[in-house]
Amino acid sequence: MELRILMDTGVLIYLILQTILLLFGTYALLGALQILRRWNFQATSPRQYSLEKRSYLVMLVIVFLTFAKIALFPFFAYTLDHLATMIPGAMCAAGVVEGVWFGEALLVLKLGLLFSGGVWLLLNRLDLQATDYPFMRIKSVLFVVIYLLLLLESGMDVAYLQGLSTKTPVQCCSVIYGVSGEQNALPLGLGTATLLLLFYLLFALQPLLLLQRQGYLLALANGVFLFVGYYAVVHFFGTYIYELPTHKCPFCMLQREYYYVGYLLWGSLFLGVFFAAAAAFLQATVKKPMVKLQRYSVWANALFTLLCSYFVVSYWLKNGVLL
Amino acid sequence: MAGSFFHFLLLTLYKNRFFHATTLLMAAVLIFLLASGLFVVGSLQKQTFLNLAQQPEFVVRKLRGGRPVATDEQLLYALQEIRGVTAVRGRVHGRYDDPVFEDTGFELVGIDIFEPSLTRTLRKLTAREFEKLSPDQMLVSPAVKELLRQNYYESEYLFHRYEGGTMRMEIAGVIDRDYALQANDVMLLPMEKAREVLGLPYGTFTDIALEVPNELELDTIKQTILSRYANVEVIDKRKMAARYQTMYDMKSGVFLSLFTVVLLGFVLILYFKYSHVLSSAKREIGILRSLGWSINDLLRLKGFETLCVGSVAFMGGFIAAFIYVYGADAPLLGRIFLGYGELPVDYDFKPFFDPGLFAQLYLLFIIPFSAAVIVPVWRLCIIGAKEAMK
Amino acid sequence: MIRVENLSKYYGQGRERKTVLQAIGLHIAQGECVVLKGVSGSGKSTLLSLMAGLEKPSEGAVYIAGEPISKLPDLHQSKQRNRHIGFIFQAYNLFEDMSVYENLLAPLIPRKLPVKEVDRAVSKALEAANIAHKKHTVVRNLSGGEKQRCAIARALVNDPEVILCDEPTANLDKDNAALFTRQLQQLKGAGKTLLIATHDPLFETLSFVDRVVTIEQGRI
Repeated sequence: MELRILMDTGVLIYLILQTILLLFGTYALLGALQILRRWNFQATSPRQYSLEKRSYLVMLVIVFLTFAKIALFPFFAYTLDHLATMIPGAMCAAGVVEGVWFGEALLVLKLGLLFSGGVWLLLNRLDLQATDYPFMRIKSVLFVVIYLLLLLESGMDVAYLQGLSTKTPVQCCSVIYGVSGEQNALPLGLGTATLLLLFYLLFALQPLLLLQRQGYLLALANGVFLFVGYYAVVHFFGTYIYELPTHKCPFCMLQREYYYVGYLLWGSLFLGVFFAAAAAFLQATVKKPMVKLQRYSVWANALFTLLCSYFVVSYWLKNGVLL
Repeated sequence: MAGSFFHFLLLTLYKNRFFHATTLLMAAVLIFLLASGLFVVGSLQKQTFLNLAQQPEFVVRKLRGGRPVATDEQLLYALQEIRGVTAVRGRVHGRYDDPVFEDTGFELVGIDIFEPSLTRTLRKLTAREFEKLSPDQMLVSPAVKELLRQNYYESEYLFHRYEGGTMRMEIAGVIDRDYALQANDVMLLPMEKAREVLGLPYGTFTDIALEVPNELELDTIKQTILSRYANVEVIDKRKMAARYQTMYDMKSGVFLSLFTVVLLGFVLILYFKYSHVLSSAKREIGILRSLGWSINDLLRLKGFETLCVGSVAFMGGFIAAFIYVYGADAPLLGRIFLGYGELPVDYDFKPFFDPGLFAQLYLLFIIPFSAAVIVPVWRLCIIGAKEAMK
Repeated sequence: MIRVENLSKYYGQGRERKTVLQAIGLHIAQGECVVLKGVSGSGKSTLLSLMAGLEKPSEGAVYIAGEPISKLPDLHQSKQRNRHIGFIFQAYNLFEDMSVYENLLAPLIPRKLPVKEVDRAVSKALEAANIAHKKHTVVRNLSGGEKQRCAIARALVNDPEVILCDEPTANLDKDNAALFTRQLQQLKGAGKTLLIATHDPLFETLSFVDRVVTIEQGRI
């Protein structure tokens, strides 16, 4: 790892915190494995009683871990954004992410980790509400998976930071996402108009699915909405945030110039999709519809859609034309 | 729910105020030290980049045997012809060591009264005094002025000319304190006089500054110059910026690494402090358990307690550091980062709140802080009600 | 109301195993007042703890209002305890630094009630225990009898069906003990189930006591 990159305030803090979390994760893992091996709620042995107490520690650590990871994800994005000042060619986090071949995969992994952590929290809630810890085993297995993801993530973090170079130039976002880039084309040959139509239709579909209590379909719709929303922001709504028709980038909106609006925008989309998918996952596990979560999902997506539309409308009101 | 829970939270916080006060104090001091250090570095960095933004995009100078030599006007006119270059200006500057002041030199900068295209910085530096400056008057930085005054040069100063003999210059005024960081040892004098002191022949320059407004043309222009002239060096502003960035990043990085060690110590102290809670705290837990509080309720109470103490300590330390650095200009600590040059730097820190830095520091503090108390708090919350109340 | 089935409690393991309670069976009906009599160390306060779910049994089970309190996860056990059981201790176990009102707040917090209902519950309990005039006095400044009444108010604030008393008169003088027994009588009148663990012979003479159960070396 180049000293310059290691010595960056954000990178240093990130690595310190990630190390702490990994240590605590390992501690919780030992507890989770013990629970997997010895858990027997019917027993009245001192061992079971002490295991029940221990399960609270495991729970506490995982809750701590998940909340810390939720806070660390935007922090990581912020740090990448800052690294852009050191890496030649990069104007924002886009270039930094692309600076190493698995940069995008790492971001997806991080999101996956947040997702599993969130599901764990919800499952834990259900488990505590029941009278016989019905999900103790599933929870423990899920945590083992989370731990493995965490290990993988930490390894990839280090490899990623090691792979970044302050000498080799990278592409800036206008090349990666812009007119001349390779990822510029919309998938399936969609045009902007079709994309937007799809975007709003999918959004309108969600409250209907909620009313019909179609949890699995809602999750499916959200899965599609994630992709459509992503492309719609990069290719259409983003240009209104930047007020520049050629500026297509999912990362620049995380910067101070745009009042960090990207965090809110992407955060609301992620939450929307998360709640829908988690609801479906829990519905499959618990065999009960998770209406509350589905409702959260619709609200979060509504915030996302409203935010996207706001930039277009406000541009139109200010300038009287569209881009 | 919220009402009575937070009422009770405040009560227990108040009840254990002496226990929390020591934690609070330690944590606040820690945050204060870290935040002040990073504020100082951040502020210097910001000022440096503001200054840098005023600089020309390229500086070209002639080399002979790899060493810079005076450039003539021909090169200046030739550079003017390159497409995309909007302004070209010959600059005269250099180091002048006065034999009287050992170890102390001045940075001489020549200014051309009749030159309309002064650099933007110089224009700002001299805005007030420039118009009325006569050929044997000069402007100096506040630090230089003070040094000269101590050596009985109250209103004028005697230069030793390169070619021999002396030259008397009147000190007409001082430049703005805001530029102290960049121009702490500077003397501004008419260009011709500066050439005389520095030993540059008439019509030659130390280097040539180019202004290129279009970012996209920078690389092309640089290549053009380098391919056309073999004996020149092109100093790129972007390279300078990167170098400054590295320098400041390293400064904060080293400071932060040292701090991490201190943080580790703090975490250990916290761990032991929370592990040896008083029997009264145990009794409190036992009573609450008997009243029907679940382990979850207790953990929530203790969690909020920790978060409150941590956050209050953080805010306290952060605000104190803000006042110390931006209000009082960081006495003592500022010195470490400004460094002792030959002349003391008198620098005025401009208040600047960076939400990114705030969030970074908060996370760096609150995560280890919570981590330290997790296990002790759990151990406290699970003890049997019966043994707790003994 | 309270059903104890084949309840045993040991501490330690193997040869060092110490039996505190041995196969206890007990049934207390709703509204009944039972005195649990025994010398100190006979296991009566352990039995009380087990009934409230503050300790886990080695064998057997406890049912409160039909719910197997000893077999539930902590969260539910605590909820049961919070709803159904009020405790009155020998040492009062009040928060000495807090006011009477604030002491009464503590059992209400896990119920997550709105503020209005919290205030109503507190007022009602203060009236019932005859301590309303000291609502904002810090407990440390109360007399022994007032502390006892504050403890009663706290036990009543969640309107539980069962009141468990552990040596309630040990720290009281004669007059206050008499006052306390009168209050107990009122509680019984209000339909509460009372279980009083004590070695004070005073309780055996009381008219409203339905039954005296003697516990000796962990057996009834």
